[in-house]
Amino acid sequence: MGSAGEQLLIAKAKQGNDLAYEQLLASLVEPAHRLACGLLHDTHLAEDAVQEAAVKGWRKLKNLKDGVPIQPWFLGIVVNQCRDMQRGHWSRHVMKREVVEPTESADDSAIRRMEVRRLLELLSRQERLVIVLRFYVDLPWADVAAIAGLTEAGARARFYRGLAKVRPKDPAAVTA
Amino acid sequence: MNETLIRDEIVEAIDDIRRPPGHLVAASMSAVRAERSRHTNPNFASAAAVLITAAVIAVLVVASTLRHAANSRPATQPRIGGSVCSIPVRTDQGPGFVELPSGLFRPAGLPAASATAYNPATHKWLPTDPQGVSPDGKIVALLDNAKGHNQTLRLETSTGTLLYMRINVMRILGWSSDGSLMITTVDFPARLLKIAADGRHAEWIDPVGNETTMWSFARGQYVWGVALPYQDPDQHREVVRLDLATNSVSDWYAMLPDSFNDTGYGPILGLSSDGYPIVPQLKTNSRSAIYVIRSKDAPTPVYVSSGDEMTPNLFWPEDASDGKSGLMITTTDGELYASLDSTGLSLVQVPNSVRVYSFAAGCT
Repeated sequence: MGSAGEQLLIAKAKQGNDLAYEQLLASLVEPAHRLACGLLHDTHLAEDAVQEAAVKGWRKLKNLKDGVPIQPWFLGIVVNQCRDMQRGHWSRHVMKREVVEPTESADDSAIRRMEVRRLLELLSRQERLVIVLRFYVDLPWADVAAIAGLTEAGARARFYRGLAKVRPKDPAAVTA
Repeated sequence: MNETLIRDEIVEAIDDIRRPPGHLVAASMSAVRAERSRHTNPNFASAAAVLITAAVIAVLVVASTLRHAANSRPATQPRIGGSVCSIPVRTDQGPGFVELPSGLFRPAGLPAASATAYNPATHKWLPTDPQGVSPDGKIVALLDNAKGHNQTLRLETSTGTLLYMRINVMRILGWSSDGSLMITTVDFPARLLKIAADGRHAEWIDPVGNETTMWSFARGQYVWGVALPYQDPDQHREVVRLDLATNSVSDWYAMLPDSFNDTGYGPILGLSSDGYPIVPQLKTNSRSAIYVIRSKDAPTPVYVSSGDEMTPNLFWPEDASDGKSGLMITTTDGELYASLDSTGLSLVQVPNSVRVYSFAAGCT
């Protein structure tokens, strides 16, 4: 948003008005949950990450400079929270969770979706982050770069490098 | 494979495992308030934490015992009789219908993200809030939240003709007496936007006497919201009413201390069939209750949980629906309560452990 209305809510929230913060959160949780789900591949862990980010955001809100839009700042907190959770939990549990084992009964599209998730999990952290921010949260390049802590050129480079690894290797799929 | 196709594949792959977070704002605010309490009064907070932990353990033990007992004696569960209907719901297994009184779940077979409301007039699932469907079902206000920026509203006829479009929508509130759609926006959070049903004009409403209000639901002449009316260290909230005839805001009901609003649940779950707010609240004896507030400062209890002060039977409401078939409630645990006969709200046993989180429309 980045509007005067948003800045008014931020100013009130900084003064301790939690209803103003709740109104800000109302428009942040959807992209935040999309981002966390794209990084963690678990809807419940993603909810935990957003909830924790909301608490950290409340605690750090005074650090948000006047006039700066809240969404990229908040999504940056979500990214850090997901990283902490991946270190502690995800790498041990979730990474082993999903193994693509096609069966005769599973339909092809479901198998492909599982395969795409597996390929995303194999990307480097920053490749996965910029792809999720760009494709799944649908952010402009400037915000993608800011949240990932990269230049725009750096974000694009990681994006295309990661994308090449997610494309299907099966020639039949390319022509489909 | 071009970029659009791989983008679609990635979106579908993640959508496949994502359940839209309907209750996440409330849950997050609950965590924020707990954090604030710890900082405000650390000694009290640590003592409170011990007490709360003990209480939660006690409640869980009692609930577990009761649930076990209930499971082993299903015949003792209150039966839900009376009228038969089918209610569209959002569940952990996707959208679908729960048949009442049997509790049988019929999945709609649609992706959760694109089927969040149901239009009974056209029998279609839609990507919006239930209050986005006009009372006669002829106009629908759809929400696109798939983008990183804020939600986009599309006002359409039920046959798909676009009438009006707007970005930066915060919330769809409902429909006024003259058939206009009421929404809030993130550009001007203190104002409301009234959009004519034909989409040809829209007007801003500046509520008089409004400080910081989160507007929740609109129906007929009134819009209902929750406000922080004065500087209060505990930030107790007030249910307020905006009269669209005068644009004036009046206090309607001050939520009690230690009520659910302080833990992030609510306070307005929905509107009763006659248009008044349904709110959850803790009673002074620590039991949970649901009230309809039809008169200023005079809540009417419509459900009080069982248990007593020492072993309160708490439940945490998430959504409410009220109509011809009576009041229905969902909880954050995914339980569905319905009042299809004179015995009041009873737990509906939905087979196969389906968790019902919210309603997509009323029971039909």
